[in-house]
Amino acid sequence: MSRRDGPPPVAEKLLRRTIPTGLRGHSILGDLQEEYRLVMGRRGTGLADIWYWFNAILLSVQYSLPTDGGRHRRSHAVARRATNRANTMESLLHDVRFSARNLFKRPGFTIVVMATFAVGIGGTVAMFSAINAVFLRPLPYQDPDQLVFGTRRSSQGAGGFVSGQDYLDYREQSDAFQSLATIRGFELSATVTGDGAAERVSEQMASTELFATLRVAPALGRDFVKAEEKADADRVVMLSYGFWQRRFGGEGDVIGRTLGVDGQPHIVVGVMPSEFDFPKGTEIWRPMREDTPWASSRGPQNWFVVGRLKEDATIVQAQEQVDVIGARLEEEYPATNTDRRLHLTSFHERLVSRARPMFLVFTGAVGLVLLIACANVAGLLLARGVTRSSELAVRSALGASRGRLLRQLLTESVLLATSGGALGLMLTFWLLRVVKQFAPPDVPGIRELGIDGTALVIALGLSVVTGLLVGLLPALKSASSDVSQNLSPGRGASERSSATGLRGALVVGQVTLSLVLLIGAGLLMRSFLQLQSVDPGFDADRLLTAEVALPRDGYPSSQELTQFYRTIVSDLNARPGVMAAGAISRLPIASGGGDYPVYPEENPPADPSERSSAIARSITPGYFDAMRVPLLSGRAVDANDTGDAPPVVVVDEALVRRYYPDQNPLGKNLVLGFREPRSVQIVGVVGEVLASSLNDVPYPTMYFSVEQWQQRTMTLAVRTTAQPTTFTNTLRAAVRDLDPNVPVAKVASMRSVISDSVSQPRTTTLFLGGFATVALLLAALGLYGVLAYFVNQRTREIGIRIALGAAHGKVLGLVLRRGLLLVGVGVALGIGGAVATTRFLQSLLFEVGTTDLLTFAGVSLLLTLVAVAACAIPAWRATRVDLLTALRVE
Amino acid sequence: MATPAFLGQFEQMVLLSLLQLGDEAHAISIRRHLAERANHRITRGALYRTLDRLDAKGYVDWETDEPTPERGGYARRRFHVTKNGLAALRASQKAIDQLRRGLDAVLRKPS
Repeated sequence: MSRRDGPPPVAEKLLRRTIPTGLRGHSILGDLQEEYRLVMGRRGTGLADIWYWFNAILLSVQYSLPTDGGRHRRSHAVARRATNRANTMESLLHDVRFSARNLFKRPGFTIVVMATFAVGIGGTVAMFSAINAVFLRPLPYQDPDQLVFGTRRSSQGAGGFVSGQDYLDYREQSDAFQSLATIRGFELSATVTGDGAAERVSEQMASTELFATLRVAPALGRDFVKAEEKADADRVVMLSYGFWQRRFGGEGDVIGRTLGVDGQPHIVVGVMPSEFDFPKGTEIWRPMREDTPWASSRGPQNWFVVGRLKEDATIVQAQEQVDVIGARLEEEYPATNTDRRLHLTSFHERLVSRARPMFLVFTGAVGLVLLIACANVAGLLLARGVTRSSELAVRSALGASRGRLLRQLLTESVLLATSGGALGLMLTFWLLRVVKQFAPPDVPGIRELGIDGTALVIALGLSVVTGLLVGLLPALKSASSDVSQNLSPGRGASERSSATGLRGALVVGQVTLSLVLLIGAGLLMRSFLQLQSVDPGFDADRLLTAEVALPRDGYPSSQELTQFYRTIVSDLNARPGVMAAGAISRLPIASGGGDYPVYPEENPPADPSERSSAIARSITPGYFDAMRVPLLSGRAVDANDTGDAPPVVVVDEALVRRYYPDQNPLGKNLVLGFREPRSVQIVGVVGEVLASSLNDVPYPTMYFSVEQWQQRTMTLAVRTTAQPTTFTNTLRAAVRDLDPNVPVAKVASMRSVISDSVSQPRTTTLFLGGFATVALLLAALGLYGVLAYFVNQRTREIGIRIALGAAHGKVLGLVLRRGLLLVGVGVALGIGGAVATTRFLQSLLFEVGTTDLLTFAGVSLLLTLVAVAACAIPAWRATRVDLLTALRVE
Repeated sequence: MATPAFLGQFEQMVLLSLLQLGDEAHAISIRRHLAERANHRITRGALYRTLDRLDAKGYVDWETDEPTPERGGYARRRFHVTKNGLAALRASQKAIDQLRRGLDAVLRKPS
């Protein structure tokens, strides 16, 4: 992203329009720019931009208010009095008091306008606070602009893992970085033993310079040292603050103690500070060692790169340099490194990019709601301006200047906006709590979300600006009306037709904008329903899942592992309330990945670069029954598939489609791996299961017997006769009875596993739906207001018509026609607007087109129905008009 | 006009700041000076418009410095008090002094 050097150009342009021209104005622009740079140095570009905008708007307002005794030639005494600041203040206070009295006199109107402002301003400030917290606030590391994130780039795009060996070469050969660290691309859990019960903790592995690269020093003890990468070094571990508190009660002498991590002794070297949380939720960090299987060869790619640029280096220079190194590696290791480069992005970008589409959609939605709210209030003020035109005419006849009336009316709208804004802040407070609850928890800054000084300033600025904007047009209209006309009795509706036309246009605008929002929300909802109705390939109801991990010290070899799984599954099966039980190495939906190179024996690939892979899972007998994955042919894995028996595999339909189209796969052999290929026989075919998420496509999958492909960590799946969560304690007890040293983690019903996997689309849908509902209500309110006013204005005419025998249907039609014309135009424009804007939702939609006909039609119909309801009340009232009241109106 | 019009309190404060700051009197330093010395915080707009008003009355005058890049190439105005401005300030201060006469005991009373 290219960085602009000066203040925001649009704000400067705005300012230039209002301040004096020539050197006087230039010096003001220069002053502001000089201070802008000071603010930028202290608070960063984001806040400086906001600062500049605020001051530009303030200065513009100050310069556009009428000068005290400047332009108008008045008598000497009046001029002198007007230059007195105290007097100006006093008359302003007078205006405020007068406005407040006026507003109190019409509580209904005041409450509606204030509430409308509150929704618009409160929503906008909440969204701003969220964006400020997530996107504008600097990372909690020193000089965060120097931090870069490295992923693998191939011709298919960037974002993949990097090979550990490649990382070591980049670290060795590049000099654009102060330091270059690496971190495993995924979290794993490890079993910690010693000093208390065995437990599963979230474990990460990183090169020894990770903490130094981020410039975070341990709160206790020392950082990793480079020698700890060696295969013969002592194994060491760094603890998170939370883990240290939880397991050791914050004891200082934890440094130097030995902990078992996955059965191997590790010396505790340090504790990280409490605010350090990278990657999110990590409880222990271990150094990447030469002998770790994740980094031992160039082929496997399991790592991300985190680097700190040298002070004078840019990310572009660094990228050029790593490209050269990447090309060199490609030449040297063509078998592994063809089409493989390191791709650098800014660290901040990497952390926030996941939340960006969601925030963009919300910001757009809030902006639209604010616009609708403004249009609504402007409409209400216009109508009110007309009803009080005689009051204004009297004041003007008594000598109030046009400017004086204008100021009075503007004071009123700003007062409404600011009190609405204050109300809106309460709404903000509540909205932020909702955001905090629903946003993905690993988005940086989300925990610190709150209303701060900046948000208050924004709320105030927004109130004043919307108050002025919204009030200006109605005020100009009211203040300029002709005195004699407004005082003369029996004035008809026609002379106010321009105000009515304006209100009509405002209603059309509201209908248009709310339809755009509603269609957006409708598309997301359809997409979410689509996602919900996806068949994951198994039956998720009444299914309890839990992860068990067998520690190395109790279970050193395959015999013990096998024994444990056999016993636990048969034990669970014997318990009352269990219909079927089994276990799998990685639970579907919850955990993807884990694929393995494979090819059919009779058809080996000619070129190793054309190798393909399939997902590999280890299961116990009974797993398919427990999950209700349909067995299509052959047999499932059973108790006879022991470690000594010939190796077998059950495959899914996707694998059959890929390797054995139109053939019977049973009895055929698959070859696994390349270095030490081994062959397994296909004995069964099952249905497809989604591995990593609901919006996944089925990927070829192989199921092995856990006795033939050992796993230390398995997830139990238990099909129960009753609510699965009621079975939680029984499951824990079953494992504990068997071995208290085996930790049970992630106990959850399969339904909640699936529900967690769609929490982000659910949040987005919920929010946009909420905004759209508010927009719909506001638009309906606006429509109602216009029609109610229309009926009011024509009470006499309607009364006479009815008295002369006009049918109720005719009167009803007169009013409805008017309302529906506005709605029709709004809907037509709204559909056009939606077609133009819904493509921004593309990345959030699942199996729904951005111009989905059903959604467009359904939502338009919904809006029309609500609009008809809004029209119906005034229309019905029109039919109840009786002549006597009608004639008494004047 | 035979006698100069009396200056408002804020106008006097601005003129006094100009005299104090001498060659360094530009909008940013004046605003800072008022905040630090007189504990009087004002918006930028209020200051600019007061300076414009004093300029229109002929009480202050200004010249521009060389434009610099950190100001986006915009020149800075340096203000100074004119002879008329000094006279008006003196007259206003004198009026205050005369009104104060005999009130020292009241006004200096330690609180």
